[in-house]
Amino acid sequence: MHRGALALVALLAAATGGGCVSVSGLSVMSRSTALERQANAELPQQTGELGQAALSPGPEAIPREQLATSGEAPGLGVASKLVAEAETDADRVDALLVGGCVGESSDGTLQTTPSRCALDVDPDAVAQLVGRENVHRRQVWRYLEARAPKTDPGRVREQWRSAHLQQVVCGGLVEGPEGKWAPKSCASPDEAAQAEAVE
Amino acid sequence: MSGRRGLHPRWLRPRWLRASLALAALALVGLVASGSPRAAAQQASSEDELATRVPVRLTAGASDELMGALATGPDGPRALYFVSDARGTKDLYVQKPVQSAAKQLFDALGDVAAPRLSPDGRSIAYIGYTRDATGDACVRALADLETERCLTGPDTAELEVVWLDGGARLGVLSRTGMQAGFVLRSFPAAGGTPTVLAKRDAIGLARSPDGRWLAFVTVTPRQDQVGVAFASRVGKGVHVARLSEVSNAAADLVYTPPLPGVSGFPAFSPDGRYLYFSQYLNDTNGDGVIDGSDHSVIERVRFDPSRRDPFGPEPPEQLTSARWDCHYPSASGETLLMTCSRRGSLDLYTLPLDGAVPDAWDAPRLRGELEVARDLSTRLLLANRLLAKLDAPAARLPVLRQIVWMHLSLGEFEAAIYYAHSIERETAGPSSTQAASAQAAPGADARWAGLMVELAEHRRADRGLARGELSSAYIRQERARLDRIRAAEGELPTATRSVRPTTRDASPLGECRPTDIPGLAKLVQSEILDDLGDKAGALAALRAVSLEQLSDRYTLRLAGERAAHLYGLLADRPAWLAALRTLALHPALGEAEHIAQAHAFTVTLLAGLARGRARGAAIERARATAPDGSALALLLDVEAALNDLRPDGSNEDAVRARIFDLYKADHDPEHRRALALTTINDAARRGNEYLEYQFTTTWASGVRHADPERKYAESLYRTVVLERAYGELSDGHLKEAAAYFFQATRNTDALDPHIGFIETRLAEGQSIAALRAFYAERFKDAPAAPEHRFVEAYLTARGLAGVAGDDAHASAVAEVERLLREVSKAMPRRLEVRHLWGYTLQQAALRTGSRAQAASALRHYELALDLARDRPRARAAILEALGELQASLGEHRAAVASFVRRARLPFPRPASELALRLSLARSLFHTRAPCRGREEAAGALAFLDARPALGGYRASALDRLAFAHLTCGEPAEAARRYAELERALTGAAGTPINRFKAALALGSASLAAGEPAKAAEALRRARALLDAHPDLEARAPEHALVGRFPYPHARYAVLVDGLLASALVGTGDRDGAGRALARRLDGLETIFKRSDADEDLLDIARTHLRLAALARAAGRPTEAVAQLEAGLARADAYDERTGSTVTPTRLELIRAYAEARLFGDLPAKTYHRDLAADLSSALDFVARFRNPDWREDRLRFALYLTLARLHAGTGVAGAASAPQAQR
Repeated sequence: MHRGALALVALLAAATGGGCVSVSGLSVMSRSTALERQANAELPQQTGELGQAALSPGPEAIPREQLATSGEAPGLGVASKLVAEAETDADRVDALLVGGCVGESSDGTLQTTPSRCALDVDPDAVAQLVGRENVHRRQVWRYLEARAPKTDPGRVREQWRSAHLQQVVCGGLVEGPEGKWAPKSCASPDEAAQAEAVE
Repeated sequence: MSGRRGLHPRWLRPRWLRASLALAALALVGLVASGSPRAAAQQASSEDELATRVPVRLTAGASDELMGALATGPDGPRALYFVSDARGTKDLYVQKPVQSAAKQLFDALGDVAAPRLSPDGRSIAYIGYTRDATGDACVRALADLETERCLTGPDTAELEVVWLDGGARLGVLSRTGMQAGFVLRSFPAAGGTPTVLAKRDAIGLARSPDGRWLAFVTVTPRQDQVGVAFASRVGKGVHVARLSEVSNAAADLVYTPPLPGVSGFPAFSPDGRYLYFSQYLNDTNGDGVIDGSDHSVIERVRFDPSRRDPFGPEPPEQLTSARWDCHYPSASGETLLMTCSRRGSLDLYTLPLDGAVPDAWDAPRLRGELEVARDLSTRLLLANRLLAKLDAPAARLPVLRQIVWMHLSLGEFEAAIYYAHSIERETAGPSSTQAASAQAAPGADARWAGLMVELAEHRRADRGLARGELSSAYIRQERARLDRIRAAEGELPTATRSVRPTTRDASPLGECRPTDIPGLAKLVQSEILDDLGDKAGALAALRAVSLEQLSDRYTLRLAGERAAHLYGLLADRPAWLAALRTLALHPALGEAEHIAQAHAFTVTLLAGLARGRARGAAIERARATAPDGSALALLLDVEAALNDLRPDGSNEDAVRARIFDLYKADHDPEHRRALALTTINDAARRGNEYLEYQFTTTWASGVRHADPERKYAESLYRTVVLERAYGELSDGHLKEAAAYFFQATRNTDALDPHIGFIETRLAEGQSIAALRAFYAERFKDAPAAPEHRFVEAYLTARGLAGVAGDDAHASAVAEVERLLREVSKAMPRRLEVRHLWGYTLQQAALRTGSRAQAASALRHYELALDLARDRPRARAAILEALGELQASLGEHRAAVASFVRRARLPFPRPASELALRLSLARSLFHTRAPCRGREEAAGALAFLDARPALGGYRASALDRLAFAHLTCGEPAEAARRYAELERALTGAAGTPINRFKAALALGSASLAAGEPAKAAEALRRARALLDAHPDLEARAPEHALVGRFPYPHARYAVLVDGLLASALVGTGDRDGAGRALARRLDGLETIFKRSDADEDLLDIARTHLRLAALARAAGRPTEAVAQLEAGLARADAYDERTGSTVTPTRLELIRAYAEARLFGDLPAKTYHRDLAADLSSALDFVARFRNPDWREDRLRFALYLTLARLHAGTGVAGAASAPQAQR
């Protein structure tokens, strides 16, 4: 709505909007409240104590490990940025790969994976980005095929993909054999063992 | 957002060592804290840019709030008026005081827009759509909001209003026809005939404070055939006209800002010396047009009509960053009010009148902030302000080039092109800087700018392609561009290629040398060829560039981008790294650039490589060729050390020592910064708090107070030290935790460390009084410091629940609010302030039952939540409190959302988790998800049973679960739990009302579960309690915010009797059932005499029906008929009072009556009703409204009506049993 509102104000185009009707406030007792009043026990002390337990004048003292487990570890924010630079398409692709919104498919292209996406993204913008990236990839494959005319194009693409996957961001979604999607693991054997021990 | 960090077990050290580390850090703090006072940090959220001021949000919630008007007084803003769509329509709201909850100003049955406060602040004018869908100009007095005066009629469409003549008149912009242009008329404010001021297609009207001038922007129709209201484009610049000459376009003063894009929404400053306006710089939404749908910045320019150039000579000042997307400026008192779009919501924000960058900042200060700002949009804001202060071309050029580059990097192509053309204009002919250099050749900067224009235009065209697919028009256009660039390349003098730059020539903002132009041309060609699909050509062009011969930092950066794209696509890491290495060591670049490129090198080198041998080997190989002392060598050395860090952190001290040796050996501040941040970021990713802490404190202690980098260091310091403090707290090391919290309070002006310190000291056993004394001593030289005021407020607020006496409580609340108002003036964007404010008002609302206080609390919580996006600990506390508040206001859907969000975060306090589970269960019931509520309630009971310390709340949990089973349609389970609850209701919980409710509910559940005997037993207990306590009634909690009504004894009595009757029927005790029903009937009649409520009539009618059934079953047909007729009489009364024709109760009564009449043996004189008439009206109704539930009745009533008419004709009473309806 808000873009439309601003455009309307900015250009004051069709002044045909605004025919909506609002209803003045009515005070109605809901059946559910009435039923609750009828049936629920009156335990003011317990209710009061629990109510106060729910309130805190300051932050909850949650340890960092617990926050990390819930995926909410506090970030260090802008202060920790070493270099001020704009987000590139490559940065966006990395973020989408890690977020599960796109994946490196087995045919070498990027593929949107909306059912796995954990981020709040604009699907049109993602589709545009993926489209652009795939156009470049196909052009690169044609270039490589032209330089290796005796090699089967499929093989060229496989080799490219193999090299490309090495530099894909850790945690990025990758299609494995038999169409199984999984995040790329970059843990060393020690780290993997450590993580397993903790779990 | 990065993924989860690896879990790292807390490093175990002896407590004494931990404590001494904390003390050592305090000593460090002492060194650090001496010296000049810290600059007050603006940071509320660690995602905020720290370099500049950040707009302060005034309106809360997910709805859109816009078009604000601020009423100010001598003490500052008094009230905020604005349009909001919180209720689905656009209504006018007010926040008065500004920090309170929004209230709808008046109730209009239509949208409202464009409010304008009168100059005397007593009236508000707006466009209303209640009477006229095309809008009317209307006015209400603020003292009498019920009365609306609309000055215009249905023959015009009103667009805007503006007060004129000191408020005596109202200017109204209208359209008189579908395709007509606009007309500005002046109406007497009290109503009357208007005069036409101008026929101008102008919008965004703003009146100057002295009333003499009107500012606006013009619009022109896009097509001749379509009126300007429907398809228009905004004209260039802002027009300012004398009101007396507004009809004469030629007399306008026109200000065309030297900026890209279009302007809109002009507004005057309170003193009339400035003109504010929105500037839409770029086509940010990619629709091919720059207009009001794109991101905007707020600008201001001086306005002095006495000067020859009323708007000059000073350039405009950019006041907001494009990232904030702010529009609709209005200035009042000391405040600039704007509507900004953030995260999909429009809200009202404020800044001081000079915007995000203080007027007082001079060029050196601006340069310093520009260098350290982390966000490009902020850097652009700073660069624009810097540019406005520079006159000399030599000083302006580097800034202009930086601006071009930043716009290009952000994809803001129109602005990049605009500023590149500015460079061309400013450097037309030999520049003074180039003449000064023996190596210079004419026009290098202009050529550079020309190539940047080509690059920007190419990228814009490329972005315009749908999903990157080439079109023939695009190919033609870009090939022509290539030809142009090649032709220009051929015209370059060959002498430009002979000079190699040296380190001596490099400067951080160095000018472009002629030797850069061929390389730049090749790089632009490479990008175009790349996007045209000619990868071979693109590579060849890239490889043709000799990086060593370049000296322009932007050309070198472009080379880095090209290498990244092409070699990245080819997966040719060696070539990519080679290019990055060259850039990281390039003599023409300064250290900041070296670090940036070295960082890119290490990221690329290590991408996808797990920690371990392979990674170490890659680092070692790269390090072998990196010159000692270079940024590249430093970062590689750091990575080598970090690579050796074991996952369990057992060698972290050794790693720390190694990196600290590197730190000590290198005194370059940029290097030290890079080393520290690289280590801190890596440690944070791996969850190694030790290294994080060590290098944060190391770095922070080395940054001078006057250094612009200082605030970033402090921000990191705060974050990291607090993590350490919370870690110690969770381990139960209170002393150490307190030390770290205290440390953070000394080195930053953050407020949450104070909270942590206070809570930790209280947990150690210190008293509130002792803490007050401690802080009074600490702040004895600055008692009014905002930190001190906040602490005082916090100490008072946290004790509110325990304050006895309503007056004392109210005083304490008022005192806390007074202190927080003071703090928020100095620290307007602190989430701790909002959180505490919300908490205080919520406590007040709990005590007083005031919905106004609850609504204000809600607002503060919502504002706090907005500031807590990356502060999960604060978010956890706020969400739970917010959910409780929303539930208490009956906003259960919102409460469920808040509780669900909260539940994703951990609970350090079991009681708060139990409270949330029970509240969520309750709110789910209210949102018609009772079975989900049952799951939550069951979870709550299981949670409680696993924690004996919570055993005192078992009755609450049982009650909630039993109720949830009942409402989820699980009566057997409900009965089991209610039986359990009855047993649990002892002590303070075992009040008569509670025992009664449990017995009643048990009876009801048992009845529904098909256990009438059990039900009867329970209901008799309930009845006995009623008889024993004639004043028994269900009451709402004393200060409930909703539903404050009692459920009285009489109602319960009839309820119990009705249920008991059903239970006794089930056990075969019809006489008992009859007695119960008779009692119920008496009770209902008594209630009805008092209530006169329609619903009670139906209950009475229904009871007669049940009595009739009992009488019939007992073989008393005459009594049955009498009951049916009495019931029908009540049903008739209900229908007459309510205008109903038929109710389900009535249908049942008619059915029973008809069957009695038609198939019974009683003489006709027993019956006193016109059965045919009853049947006919019922049949009409069920025939007309085809409810599937009435299908049988339709068939049955038709049959019965036929029989009734037949019998009426023959006078024969009915015989045999009632036939079943044919299916």
